[in-house]
Amino acid sequence: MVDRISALDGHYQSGRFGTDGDTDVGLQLIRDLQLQQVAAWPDTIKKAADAAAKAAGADEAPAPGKAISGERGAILRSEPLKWWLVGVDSMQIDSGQGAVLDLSHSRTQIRITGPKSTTLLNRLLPLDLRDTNFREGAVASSAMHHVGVTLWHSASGYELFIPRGFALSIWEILFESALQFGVEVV
Amino acid sequence: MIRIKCPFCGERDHSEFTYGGDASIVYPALDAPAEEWHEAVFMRENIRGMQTETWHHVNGCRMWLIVQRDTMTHEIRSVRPAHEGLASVLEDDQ
Amino acid sequence: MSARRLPSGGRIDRSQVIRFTWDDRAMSGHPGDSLASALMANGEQVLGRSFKYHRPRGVMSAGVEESGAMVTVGEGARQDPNVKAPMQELFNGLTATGQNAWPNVRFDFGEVNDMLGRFLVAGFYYKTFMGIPPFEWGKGTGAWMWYEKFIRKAAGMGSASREADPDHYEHGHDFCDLLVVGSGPAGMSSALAAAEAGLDVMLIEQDWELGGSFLSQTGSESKNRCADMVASLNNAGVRIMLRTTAFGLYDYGVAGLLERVTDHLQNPDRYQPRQRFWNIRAKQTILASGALERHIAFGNNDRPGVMNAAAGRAYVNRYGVLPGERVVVATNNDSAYKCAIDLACAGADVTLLDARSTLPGELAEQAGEAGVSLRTNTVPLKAKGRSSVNGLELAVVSGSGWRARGAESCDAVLVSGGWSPVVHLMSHRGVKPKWDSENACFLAPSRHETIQMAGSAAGYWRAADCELSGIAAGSVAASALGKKAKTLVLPPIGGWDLAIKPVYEIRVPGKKLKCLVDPQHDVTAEDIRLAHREGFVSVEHLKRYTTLGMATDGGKMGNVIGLALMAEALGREIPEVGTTTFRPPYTPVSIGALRGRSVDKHFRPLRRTPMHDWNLSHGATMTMAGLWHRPWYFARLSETISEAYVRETETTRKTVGLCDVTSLGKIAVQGPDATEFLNRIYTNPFAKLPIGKARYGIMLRDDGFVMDDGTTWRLSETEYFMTTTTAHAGKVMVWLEELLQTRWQDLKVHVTSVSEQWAGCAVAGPESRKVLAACVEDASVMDNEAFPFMGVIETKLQGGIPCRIARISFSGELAYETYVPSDYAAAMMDLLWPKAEQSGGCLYGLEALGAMRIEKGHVTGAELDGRVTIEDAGLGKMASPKKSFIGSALRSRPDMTREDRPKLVGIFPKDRSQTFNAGAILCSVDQVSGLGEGWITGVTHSPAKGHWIGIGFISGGHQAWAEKTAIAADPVRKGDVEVEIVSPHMYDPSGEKMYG
Repeated sequence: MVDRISALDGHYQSGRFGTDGDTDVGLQLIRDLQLQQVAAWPDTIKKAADAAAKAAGADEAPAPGKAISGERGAILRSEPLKWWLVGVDSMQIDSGQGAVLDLSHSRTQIRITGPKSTTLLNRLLPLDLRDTNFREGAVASSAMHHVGVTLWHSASGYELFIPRGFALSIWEILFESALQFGVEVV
Repeated sequence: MIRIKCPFCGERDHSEFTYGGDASIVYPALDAPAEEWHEAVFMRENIRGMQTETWHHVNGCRMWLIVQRDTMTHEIRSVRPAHEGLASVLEDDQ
Repeated sequence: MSARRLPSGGRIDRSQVIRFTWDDRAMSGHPGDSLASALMANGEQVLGRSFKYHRPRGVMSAGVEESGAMVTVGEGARQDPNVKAPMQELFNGLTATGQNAWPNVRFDFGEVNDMLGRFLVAGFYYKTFMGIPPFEWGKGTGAWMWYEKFIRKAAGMGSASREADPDHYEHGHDFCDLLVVGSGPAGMSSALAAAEAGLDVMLIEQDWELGGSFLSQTGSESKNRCADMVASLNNAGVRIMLRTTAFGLYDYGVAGLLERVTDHLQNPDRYQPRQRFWNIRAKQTILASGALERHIAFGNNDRPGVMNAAAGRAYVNRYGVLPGERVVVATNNDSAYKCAIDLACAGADVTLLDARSTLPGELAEQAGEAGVSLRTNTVPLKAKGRSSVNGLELAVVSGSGWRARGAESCDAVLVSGGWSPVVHLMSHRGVKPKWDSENACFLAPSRHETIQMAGSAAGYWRAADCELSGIAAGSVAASALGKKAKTLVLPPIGGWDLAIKPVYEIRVPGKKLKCLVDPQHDVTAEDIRLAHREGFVSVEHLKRYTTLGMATDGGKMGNVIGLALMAEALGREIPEVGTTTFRPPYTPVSIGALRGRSVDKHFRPLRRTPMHDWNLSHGATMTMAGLWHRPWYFARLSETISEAYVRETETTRKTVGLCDVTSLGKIAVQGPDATEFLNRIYTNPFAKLPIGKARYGIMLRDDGFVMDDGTTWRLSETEYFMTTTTAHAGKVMVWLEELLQTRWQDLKVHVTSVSEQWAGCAVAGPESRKVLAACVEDASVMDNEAFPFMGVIETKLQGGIPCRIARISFSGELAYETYVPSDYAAAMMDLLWPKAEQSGGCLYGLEALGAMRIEKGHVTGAELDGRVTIEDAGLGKMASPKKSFIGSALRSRPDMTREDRPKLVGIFPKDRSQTFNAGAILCSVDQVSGLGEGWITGVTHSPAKGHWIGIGFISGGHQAWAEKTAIAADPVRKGDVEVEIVSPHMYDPSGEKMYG
């Protein structure tokens, strides 16, 4: 099988950039995203939730605005009737109960870490990311520089999912905004 | 700037949403006569005060919402999913 | 004699020296200085020239209301005009120059305007240059256009740089429980009270130091009090933003802030933005924005050396600069006494004129002890001196007015005409401030929505009362958010020992004076009366006619005086006259900050296809299609665009061509009711589309016009893959969601955009089958029988790349659209291109794609512009008569079915060597005027035809124009071209090639 080429390939340079002193932001492209979308019908949501949880190896599927990490992958509640399975390469569901869709190539995943990661995100994202509101396990979709994005606060940091076609454009503006904090591209 | 309390996402800037239109319109059946469709598509009130309207959370959960908004003050009285099935799903989630 | 630096005192650090230049002259100051205080300390008096009359101006205030010391800071591309010197923090290397003067502010030829003042009254340009009625009726505009150039040059403020802005800017978003605007006694205490009650508080201060009025007080007590509060704020976790102005307040607790990040730095970190525009969403807001001191309109009240009393106090106490040695303080209220006392203690010889008939007992006693001479019933009449004040003519009470009596020699005049609480931000919320006659000021309601006023912004004059009102407001905010907080009993607003005596203008019979009301725009008291005589009665009209309050201070200096004079002229009270509305921004905001990072390549987000880099490395020249970057053409050697696309078209029609079609919208339609759903939205039947087949479909809007077209592929019983046009991809997606969520809630269908998931390549031309067969793992899937026209297969390209292929054609040739998951796009092209090259094929771009579709008469976004019915587009057969669908009811309206509607046609130049432009209007030969009979939407050179062809619309369609000549009228470009109207299917009308 041929290798996947990400939207940032050819434009992604690792290293330390920006202002001298502390390095307060880390940016990392997470390659080879596996992303399955599970969609339920209103009357089958519980069954679809169970199926999604099972596929991810989790005890249950998350409520709105939340994510749960399971043994095989994470489940993000992306829309009222939809979940995203991150790190899961396939899943089956009866068409009467729901629909599965492979979106692995549709998003580019960027991980944002470091003490100024929240500050950096809020330069572009109108989301309330304060600890009181957006703790680990939180998920939200919003717009960054006019582009619809999804943000997940994972155990590793912030995971930003950008539509692939806009990924380089958003990466550039994110990187430029991060220079003031001192940034390590991993 | 208006802030809209999305039943799925919480309170968000209106820049995440797009305005739909008059939510009080009941669209006729596809095979209904042209007069009924004319009424539904073209005849609109220009309301001063509380208006029921649709908004789409396009850069969010992509839900279509029914919003009661005062056109004079921007006060929003209520926000609910346009889809009744979604409304009940979200109630169960609470 | 002018101002001088005191040997000690103030908040400046005398141990360090800051070097800066003013009008190319080297000067020095200290950390803690403003540009204004440093210039005063260097003995500079004339710092600016006024807008219209070029009158010399000095420092008039110590804050944002400054209307005298307006200077240009920086040089070259960083030249920033109209900077208010009191607001500019001094730094090493700062370069400032005077503006609106030639050769300089100290000696300015423009000063002649001051002598011509009587010709330059309110609205003079309307009167003078618009033509002299009745002889020049209608000719005025021309005259104005001519004069305007000179007026613009002579009048005005500083000039901006002509170079591109070298700095960058950015936006920021934040959220808090409570936003406090202003860090004086009220702001700090409210922030503290709320934070201690458990709120997340942001405190905003436009200055570079917290403290507000604390900063211009004397004594260690207030200094310590201020320092203690700052420490407590930090301990309580209050988020403090200095050098940040809350310039606007909007719905839902949203505030707009401008943070000046590097404007005070000599060598800013190049990664820091110059300024940051913040959007703050606060649950509660407290406006502790303070009050601005008013001046009084007396003769030459704008002379260098005349400033407001609070400013005088600030310069002495905060900056250690004594404004003058012989100082006259003129007041109508208690507040200026402290100023007089502090100046006297600092060594000045101070005379205080109180307009009132009695003195405030205790304050007057203190002033007396400090050596201040006091006079009652006395006001300033006219400042003497030109480049600096050297004396003051006085007036005393006479009946209900004033009469001239005596003079004082002095080198500074400090004026207090009362206070105007800063109610601007509350006014932004649509609240009209109300006149409080007891305190002679406009006050906003203390609470509105989730916003409260506190401190002097709410009309409290005593510092202790301000602190109390701050604590109370902070507590109210805390309890509103469910926190426990004490309730406080508030003192009544105001708080002066002796009531203010309203004094706005000093006039004495028989004396002509130039009394400035709005010094920044050179509006005089006489201008206001003139406007009244000329019939202006509304304050909103008065404002626009005289330009009162329309300068960069937004009326902070002169509005109230202007209103008072207008009220007087109208014989009414101020409340009846009302006030104009304050609108954002409170202080100027640079356009750069508003645009943030959305500039240059980030002007809008760029959308790249997964083959973007592959296309570029294979010679593509790109073009924009919406936000997408798409290959326009692939020039070989020195080919021009025309040569390239003609070659690409010819090659594709002869052998094979590859084209990146990723930008087409793609939507996954899934669910048990997917078929029923598609059958309702498309005009043609979808109920019986077999699995493994695609169908071309057209969607209408509710009103019966065409919305979009595209092919939809059936992948399984319950799953479809829909494609849309590039232009309408987003709109169609939203529309489908709307239908499913609002109208057809019973349908079990999910739609999801997969535009980003799949990369698409069109393989078109007679050799396309061969090329694909060489690239798929199992070549047999490409057999004509196994894979007929409109067939769909899901298979694998070599290397195991999953792909889905449909045999559909936009070019009119045998053609396929091949899609692979986006990360495999380059791999797909690396497979397809060598095979295509072996067959003598080419890569083609948007231009060749357009040429081929025009030859074929296929419509795109240019034709489907929202005014076109399905019949207009020549696709009437696609509308099923057997079913109802979206738009089926209203498409049958009489006007939508008229025979003479413009219909899709092909267009040939009558003289085949000729060409014409898209956008030309089609007219009949005998009437080349008006709206014409139709229009041209696309033009190309057709290699198949060997001449230029076009596509467009004309009344009645091509049948109605058979044998007739039409004119393609293009008056501003090509002129008129004779054209023939033909069927839109200009190439292979029977479709033999496509089906072959």
